[in-house]
Amino acid sequence: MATTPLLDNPNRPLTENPKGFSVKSDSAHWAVLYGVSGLFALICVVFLISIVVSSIPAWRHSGLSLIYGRVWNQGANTFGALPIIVGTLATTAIALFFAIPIGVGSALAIVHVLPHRLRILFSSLVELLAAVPSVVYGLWGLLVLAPWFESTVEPGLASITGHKFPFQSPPEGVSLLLAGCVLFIMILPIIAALSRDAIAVVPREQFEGALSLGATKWQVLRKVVLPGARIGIVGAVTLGTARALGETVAVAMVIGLNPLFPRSLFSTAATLASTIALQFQDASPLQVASLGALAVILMALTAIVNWFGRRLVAASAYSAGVL
Amino acid sequence: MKMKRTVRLVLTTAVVVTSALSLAAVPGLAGASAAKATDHYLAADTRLNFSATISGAGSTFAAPLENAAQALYQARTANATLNGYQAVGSGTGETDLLKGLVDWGGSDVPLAQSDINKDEPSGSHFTVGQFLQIPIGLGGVAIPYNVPGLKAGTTLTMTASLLGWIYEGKITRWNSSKIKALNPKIKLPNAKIVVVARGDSSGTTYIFTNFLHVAAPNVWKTSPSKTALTLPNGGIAGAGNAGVAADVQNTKNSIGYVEYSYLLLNPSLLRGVAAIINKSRKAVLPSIAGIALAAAARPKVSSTAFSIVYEPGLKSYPIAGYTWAIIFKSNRTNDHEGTLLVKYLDWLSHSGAVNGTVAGQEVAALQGYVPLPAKIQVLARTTLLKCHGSHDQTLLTTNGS
Amino acid sequence: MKAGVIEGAPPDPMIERRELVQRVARQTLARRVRISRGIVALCGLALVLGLIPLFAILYSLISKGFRWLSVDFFTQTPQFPSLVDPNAIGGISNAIIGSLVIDGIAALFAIPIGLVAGLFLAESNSRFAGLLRKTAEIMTGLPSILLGIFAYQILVIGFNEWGIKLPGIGFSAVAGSFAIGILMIPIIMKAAESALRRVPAPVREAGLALGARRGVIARKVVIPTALPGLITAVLLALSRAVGETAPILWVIGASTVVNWNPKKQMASMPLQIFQSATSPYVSLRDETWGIALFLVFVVLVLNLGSRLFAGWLQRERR
Repeated sequence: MATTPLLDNPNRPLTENPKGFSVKSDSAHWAVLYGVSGLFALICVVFLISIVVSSIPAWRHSGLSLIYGRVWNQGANTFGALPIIVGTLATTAIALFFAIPIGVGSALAIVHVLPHRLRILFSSLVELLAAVPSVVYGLWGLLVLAPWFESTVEPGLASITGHKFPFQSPPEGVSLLLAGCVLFIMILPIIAALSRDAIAVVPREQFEGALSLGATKWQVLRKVVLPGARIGIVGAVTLGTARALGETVAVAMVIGLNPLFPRSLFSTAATLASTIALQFQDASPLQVASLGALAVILMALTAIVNWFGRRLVAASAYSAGVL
Repeated sequence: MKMKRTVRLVLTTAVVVTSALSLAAVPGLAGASAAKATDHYLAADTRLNFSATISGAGSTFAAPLENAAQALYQARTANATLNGYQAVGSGTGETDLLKGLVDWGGSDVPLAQSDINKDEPSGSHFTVGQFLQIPIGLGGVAIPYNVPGLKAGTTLTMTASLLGWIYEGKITRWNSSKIKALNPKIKLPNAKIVVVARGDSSGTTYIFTNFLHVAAPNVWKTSPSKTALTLPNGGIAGAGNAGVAADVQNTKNSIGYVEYSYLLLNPSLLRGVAAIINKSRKAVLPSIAGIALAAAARPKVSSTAFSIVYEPGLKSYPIAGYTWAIIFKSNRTNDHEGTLLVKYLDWLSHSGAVNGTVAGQEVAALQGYVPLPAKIQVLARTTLLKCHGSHDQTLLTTNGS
Repeated sequence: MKAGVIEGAPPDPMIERRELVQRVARQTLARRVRISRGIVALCGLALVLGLIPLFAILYSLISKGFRWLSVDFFTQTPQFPSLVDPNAIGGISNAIIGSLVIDGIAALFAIPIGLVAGLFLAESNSRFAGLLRKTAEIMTGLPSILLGIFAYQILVIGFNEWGIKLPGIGFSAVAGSFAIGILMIPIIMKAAESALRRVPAPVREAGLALGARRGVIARKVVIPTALPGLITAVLLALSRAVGETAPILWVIGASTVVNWNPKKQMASMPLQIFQSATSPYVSLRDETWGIALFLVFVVLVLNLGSRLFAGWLQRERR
């Protein structure tokens, strides 16, 4: 580097790099960037492959009956995960059934109903729900919600519908319904916050233009805002679904962990992630592989949901483009 | 209806005191609570000339005992660090030991070659002879139930056959004729039975199914095992004894099987505990005395003949069992940790106050277990003396090293 | 004289149509306004319903947990009740320190990797960058328990197949940090990338115009400008990591003593909650609310603090 003071020396280098400005001298920078990113990418790839590879003995042993088999009995070395898959889909469905209307409704309310000043406050409150750790949800669900469900909610639902499907089992507290409700509370902030972002980006001019044509607020929301925000809302729901499919700890604490077909909403059930959590530690090698297979099924389900979401987004974008 | 805290405290203290007093009447146990004259090993068990850290995992049956014992041992023994006991269930305790993750595995069922073959981590070929099994606790499996339709304080009488039918799903309602036949004077509600069992690999499940198989072989045809029971009519899979206890407590019309000391620690479950018909055709509630009688009826216990279910005796409780600590015969960690391990397990499995402080089995009594009979304490010590270190030396010594 | 009508000209169908529309609109106005008001009220109701669980949880946490927060709670290790002393509860100092060590080590390696990878994503548009971005998205969508399985199989029990031999280190805090660190990296990556991309192009180009290399621009211009966003990213990832239970379920063992050695077993706050929720001791079960309250407090401080700090830094810059 130059030793004479820069300003006095007419031969001072024009750049701090004595070799002159050159892309090649950037190599250290790019080496670090590529190196670190490559390292992380390698870890991820090893991780994903290890999960898939660890499940191979299970696929060899049970074949596709892992997916359509109805009995999960590690003592008899029978591993059929259909009831567990059904439990996963059912809890996610219950969660979405409540989370989509309430989440999108809250988002609409935050953006278009609340006075502007309150927007940040309520947005932060909704996002606060997302910050609560899942184990605290499980604790609250188990110690507060479950007794309430068993004593009030479930008998109430049963008597309203006359003990018919899907409310015919006796209330046990921990149940499919309770797990679905806890999941609903957990994915609500995801759907609400992302929908709010999508709804807020719909141009104000479109909103006001429709109003000026004489439409009522709901007509504007229905015909202008929601279609405009459709892409973001679909993305939000996709993310929420993926989260619900994979939630482990909170569900394990409130679902009863019984890998049988749930006969009603009040039965105990099991989900893919919670079964892995309960059984992994004391599993025989074949059982470990079967639990790895459950993980693979879970990843496949998540991938299907993401793919479906992307198709919906593409379809919306196409129709929005035509419009 | 929750009992007031003071009432609960008085009740449990009364239970413990009367049980401890009644122990004196049980033959074979008379020596257990009297301090040995000079037990050099016991005196040395709380002296350590070096620092070491050990940890264990396994049976939830033994968890209250291990938790309390470790805290006490550590407080009194300089340089010893007992880094916790994970109550993960007997099966997981055994596999953790096989994988070398813990220093001792707690299990209600001694390790057998079939367990090793099933859980064997890749590349290892252990044989049963490479392990030592030390009895460290004696307890029973109680059958609590939570039926709001029954009057408070009602005790149901059950047999092994009845329990077998319930857990097989053949009896589904509380007012079934078979339950009525055993309890003619009790008005049973028309409610579906919610069956609670263990969802993890459990030694308590083994003791329970062992009782069902021995006492009612026509009903419960499968051999006893630690594997989670399938519950054909729904039901709840609890994690650990604590999980099952909590599930029974929180779920109406439920029934479960839980280690007895958990009921003493959770007095609200004492409201509904079944009296089981024992081999002498008497209905017996679980109690410290009843479990002690069952142990006394079978004094010769070893790691291959360990079952004490369904023993004869008018007042003997039929679902009782020992719980064991499993270690490698040839110590696999450094000698310091091996020495701490055998000293701790020796202290844990013995009773006898030394220098004004208690040993493990006195702690066990305070936690709701039955102190180990004298012969079993001797078995524990002779087994521990077989553990050797890196130079083939016996690790259990009468001094501080 | 009607609007738009020229005397004597043929009738304009558009005017008739406009009058039809206006007439229908006037007739339906009352009904449409009623429906609109109703549904808008429903949206407000949805918002209220959505916030009820938050307040319910906070209420439960505070009402049941607050009385456990004492000096003993934070400084003592756990004790276990016995029959004659059913209220012997120590504290959770082992879990607090355990969480500190595990999350601290995780942050130590996750923050640099995450920030550098985020910088890479922001600077490069190559195909590899696209793949990396996709990978990060997949990783954030995966259930965290899979990371626990990964850490267990690689670090805890060791690996001895296909010629690769990795000695297992047993239950340890390091294994837990590994799992949580991998969890944190994609979160930091994505948030850092968006923070770095928000640095206006003119700022970057000014650096280029002065003749600096890309690396120097990144270090001395882009990162300092994006610093609030980066700090937010890190604090958000931390707040998520502190609360995670699934990755460390079978990986860190347990410890009832205070332990600073990361190669040994350790306790952790979220794991303690998970285990104590079904504890056989009633008083330990009640104490779980205290642990949960403290944990939620820490998470909220990190979460809100990150945003407030970013906002403050933004204002300070002006």
